[in-house]
Amino acid sequence: MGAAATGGAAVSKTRTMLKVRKVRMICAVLLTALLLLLARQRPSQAQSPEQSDAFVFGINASVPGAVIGTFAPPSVDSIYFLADRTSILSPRQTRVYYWPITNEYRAAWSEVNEQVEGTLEILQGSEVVATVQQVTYTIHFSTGERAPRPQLYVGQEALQADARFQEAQTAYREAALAYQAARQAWLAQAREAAASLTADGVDPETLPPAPQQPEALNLFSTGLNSGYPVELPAGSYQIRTRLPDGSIIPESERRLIVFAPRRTAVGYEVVPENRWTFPEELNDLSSAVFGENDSVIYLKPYIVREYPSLPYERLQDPQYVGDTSGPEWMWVSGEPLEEEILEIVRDGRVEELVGLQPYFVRQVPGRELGYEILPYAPDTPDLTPRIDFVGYRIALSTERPAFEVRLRSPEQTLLSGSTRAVRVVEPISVYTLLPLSLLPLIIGAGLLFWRRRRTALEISE
Amino acid sequence: MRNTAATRYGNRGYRADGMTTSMESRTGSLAVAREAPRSSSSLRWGALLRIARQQARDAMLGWAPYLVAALAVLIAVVLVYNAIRFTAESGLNIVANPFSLPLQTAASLALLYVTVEATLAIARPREHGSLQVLFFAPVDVSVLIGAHFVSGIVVYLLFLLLLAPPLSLLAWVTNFVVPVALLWGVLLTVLVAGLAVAFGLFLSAAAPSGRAAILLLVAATLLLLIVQGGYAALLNIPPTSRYYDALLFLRVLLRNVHELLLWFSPFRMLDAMLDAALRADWAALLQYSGAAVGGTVAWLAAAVWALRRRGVLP
Repeated sequence: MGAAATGGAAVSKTRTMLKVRKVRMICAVLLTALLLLLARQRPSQAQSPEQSDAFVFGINASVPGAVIGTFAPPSVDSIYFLADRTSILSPRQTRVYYWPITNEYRAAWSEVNEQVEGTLEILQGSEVVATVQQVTYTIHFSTGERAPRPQLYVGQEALQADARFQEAQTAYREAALAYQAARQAWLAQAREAAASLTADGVDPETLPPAPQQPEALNLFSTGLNSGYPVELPAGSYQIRTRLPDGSIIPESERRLIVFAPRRTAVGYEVVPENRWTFPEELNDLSSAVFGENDSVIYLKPYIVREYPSLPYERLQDPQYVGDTSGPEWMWVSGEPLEEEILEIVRDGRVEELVGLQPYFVRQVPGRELGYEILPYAPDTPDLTPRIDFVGYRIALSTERPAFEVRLRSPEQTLLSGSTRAVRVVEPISVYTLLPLSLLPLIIGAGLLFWRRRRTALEISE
Repeated sequence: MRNTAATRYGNRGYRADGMTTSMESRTGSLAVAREAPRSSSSLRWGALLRIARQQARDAMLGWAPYLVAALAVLIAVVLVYNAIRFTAESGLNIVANPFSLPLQTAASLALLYVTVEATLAIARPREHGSLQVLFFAPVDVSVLIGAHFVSGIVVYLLFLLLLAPPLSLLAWVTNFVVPVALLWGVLLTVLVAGLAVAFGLFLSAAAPSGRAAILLLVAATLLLLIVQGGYAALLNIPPTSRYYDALLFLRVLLRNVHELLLWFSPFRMLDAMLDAALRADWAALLQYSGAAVGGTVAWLAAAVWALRRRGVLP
């Protein structure tokens, strides 16, 4: 019984083992099949999107203080430019593909990037208003906050600018090579000095001064390219490219919408002293500054231009599919103004003149704000080692509760659109203001009472 | 003269179908013109002014305009207080177009009030059967519509006058800026008020009853405000992402309707006029003023036509 039981247990164990093996085998087969399937699928996942040959316009759109580089694939029927600024359209043959992640077409410039010969015709209605030939252009730009703004050079100027750039690049390369050589020589001298090291060490007088590294070239160039320079007044146009054989490239027919700023003015960046890292913008001409008593603000002026939001968005991205969201008009900041004098005007009389002043922000541990803003003085490098920002300082006080600020140029002319109202407001209880809403009712009650009384008098008479 | 006018309009009012031919009307007018052309026009003008004065007096001797004005000031107080409170909290407040929103709200309420008054001006007395009595005086359809129109404009101006002291006091107490350009803009909104009153008079003349006229006005106002408010709300909703926007179709649709409303809706026109005044954009102001006057004339003509067509009986 016991042996039979042991034998039965062994048979049962063997059967279980066989079952487990069978299951493992099936799993292995399934896993292999799955891996094979995945292995087969992988090449198709890595495939690049389907590309097609297309005529496109490369775009370098001029905006205040910048040149925006984009392109218009065949799906874009309207191209947007700013009025009275030179922008560039470059006719190109390339390959494009749809990129669903960003819902836009992209160009495979590295595969095909052929310049298309021909002239650009600009039409209004059915009339050709301009015919533009391709010219050489280049864009130079630098990096850094106080660096010069990007510059577009066209035609002969482009050639000259490119020559200057090449010259600067060559000069920098030579300076860098000379520096390397000088550095090697200096290192050799230093090694020699180290070899003749005495117990007293190296006499610093015996070592020549270390060579100075040349200043890095902060100028970049797109190189020389060809395109149509377009500078038009505001309006709606049609464009097309005519080939040398007289035919029109159908894909080149697009709408060109040229728009101008609705208003140009002087805007201000308002830096409150109590949170100088969070400045606010004061752009609209009818906007006003409301500040509390005993506070200080700093104003940083610059040119602002007001553009319609949607066209400006499409100027920056011709494939932008969205519609207006946010304000319908937007102020675009432009060139900073640093030569002017700020006038504080009260009741039509200039009360104070304020000059632009650099400031240093000193971190002060333990103080309420954690910092204090000091006027920058070059002769006290220990106290004010650097310039953190520049601005016109205005102290707000209830002694001067309402005034205006405006800018006067060095030529003593007032800058149009620079006037803004400033108000010093003091906290007030809502219960003080609410009775004002009863005033119309009081007037009405008085009128009705007077009317009733008059009627009663008339009846009695 | 009085008999002629009474026969002309009284008789037409009693017609079974409530209709009259333009030839009848024209013949009647010509007959009056032949009898006493100068006295006719001066009588008509006198009647127009008398009715307008009476209507305006009736309106201003009720509580309604003062209640609406009180509401307008209350809203202005809340808006201004909100800005002041924020300034006290943050230390700095850049207020875009200060006092523009309070004034716009006040002017919108004034518009709504005169439109409601105009919507009831004809429909209510007609419903009560008292409209026909007017036509026993040297009054015709044009005079009546003109009188109600003038009355509406006068009430609107009085309403603005009523708002001036409390709003000025509010600005003075709070040291708030009131741009002068905005005040010019508010004065120009009288043209928009004309458009609103003319539209109200058309509804009043065309609707079968006072209740129907008010319902139509509410429906039209709601539609206009929904489009305007919906568009403003959509502007403040950011797109789903930079590349996809679930509300794109709605945005485009509402933007186009909103742009169209600029030439029809008094509320939209009011916004645009105040904005143009703030920007000192005289060309735009002239354009909107022209549109408002054109719309006013069209709605007044439609009101005259509707009253002639519908008659003076309930």
